[in-house]
Amino acid sequence: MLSKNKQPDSRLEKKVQDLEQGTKDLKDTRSALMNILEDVEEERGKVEIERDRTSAIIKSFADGLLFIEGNKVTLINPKIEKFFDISEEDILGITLTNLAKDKRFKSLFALIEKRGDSFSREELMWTKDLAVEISSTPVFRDKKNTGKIIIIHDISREKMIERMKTEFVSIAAHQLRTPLSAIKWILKMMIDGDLGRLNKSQKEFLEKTYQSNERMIHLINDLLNVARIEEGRFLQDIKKVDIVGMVQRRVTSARGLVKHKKVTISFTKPKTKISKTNADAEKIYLVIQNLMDNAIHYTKEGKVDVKVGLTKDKKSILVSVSDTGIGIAKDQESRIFTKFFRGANAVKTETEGSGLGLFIVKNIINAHEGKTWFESQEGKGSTFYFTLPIR
Amino acid sequence: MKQILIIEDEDLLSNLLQKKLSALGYGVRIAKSEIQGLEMIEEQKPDLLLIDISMPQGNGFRVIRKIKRSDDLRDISIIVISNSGRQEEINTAKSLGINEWIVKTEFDLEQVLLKVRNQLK
Repeated sequence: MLSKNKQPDSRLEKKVQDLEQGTKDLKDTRSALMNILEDVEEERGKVEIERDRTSAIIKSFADGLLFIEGNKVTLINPKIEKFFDISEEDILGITLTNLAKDKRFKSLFALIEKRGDSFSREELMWTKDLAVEISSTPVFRDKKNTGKIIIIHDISREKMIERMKTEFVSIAAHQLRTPLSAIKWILKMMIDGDLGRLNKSQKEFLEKTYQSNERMIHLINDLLNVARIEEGRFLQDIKKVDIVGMVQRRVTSARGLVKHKKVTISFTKPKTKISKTNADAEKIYLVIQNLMDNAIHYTKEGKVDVKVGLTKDKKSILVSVSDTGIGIAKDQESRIFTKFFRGANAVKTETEGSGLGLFIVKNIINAHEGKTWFESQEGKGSTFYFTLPIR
Repeated sequence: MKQILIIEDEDLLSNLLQKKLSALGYGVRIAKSEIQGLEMIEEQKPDLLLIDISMPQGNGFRVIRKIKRSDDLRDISIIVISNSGRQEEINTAKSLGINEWIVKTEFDLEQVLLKVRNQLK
């Protein structure tokens, strides 16, 4: 009997053991689950903190932020509400098609249409008094484009300061011109002997003073031109201009300037006839003058060659001015058209110079929708090119 | 004797011009402001007017407009002498009917005198 019962006993024992093990496993699982829950809770807390932080950043951000996902605006910050004069409830969830109809968003959508999803610091006059810079960055999730973030930065203050600075330069330069012209006229009279005979050295000194005065006038003219470029009112007198004749005239008068130098100036005529084109004659003359003056100033001896022709597509006039002068150092090439920049070797060769000539050249040609560029080798010479679309 | 009126606030320039033009045999008077200039034109009509456009007291454009609107004065030759070479100003002045625009810093006195002589031939 006993021996008979021995087996069920051990089975029971085994079951008890299994149950105990099961209970332990359950307890372990429960505590593991509790742990996970605690972790989740903790993570959630962290996420909430993170979310609040992000939201605080977005809300207090000095720039306007606009989040577009799919075809809808999904997030904006208070600055956007201010820029567009719109409240969050009125814009969230609105489809872009409907938004584009709103005239407050017209200029933004025109910009997106023009520049696509990705662009940086595009300037826009939002209203008469509000100037902004707009950037757009596409957003990707799992390598899929899900929308874009648009950032709008207020630059009205910078614009105002820029305008005031330009106005100041313009007024100051105009005021400086008055005494300078009086000095110019009187010096000329003295040099001509109108105010009594001069001896040789008196005359020489006065001539040098006259040249210094001329340089000052030249500098002021450059500053005024830069001020006009920056005010955006540079091209004023567009009419039909004979560019070939203009270049030829400048070449002739420049030959007079190099008489005392070991520099020859050659002119290569176009192979085909070039008709007149619409341009601001005075400004284009200034371009040719600046490029040729540079070529002459920075070439101690050698030659300056001026060519006029057409571009390959025959749609533009191509003018080039080559010299065998000091050239431009490789590391300074990128700055050559910037305002007030002068190459180190240029400063050494010629101490005078405003560093405004090429800036003015580039701006004049840009305003005519042409291109300006150069090729150069330091110590060997430079060639400057510009194109002018024929119209 | 041909009569010239100079309207210019800068004494140095107007005195220089007067000295040179008188030596060439012209009758020269100087006004220092817009109002004085208009009074002097009324007193005696000049054959030629040398006028500065921007003066602290008054505006040269107003003088030119008044002259060109008047039947009696319209035939006065007008040469503008200005510090400004702004094309929009030059265009406005030319459309009003001036004869010459001289940017002071771009010309010598001799060249100005030559332009005066050409106008009064």
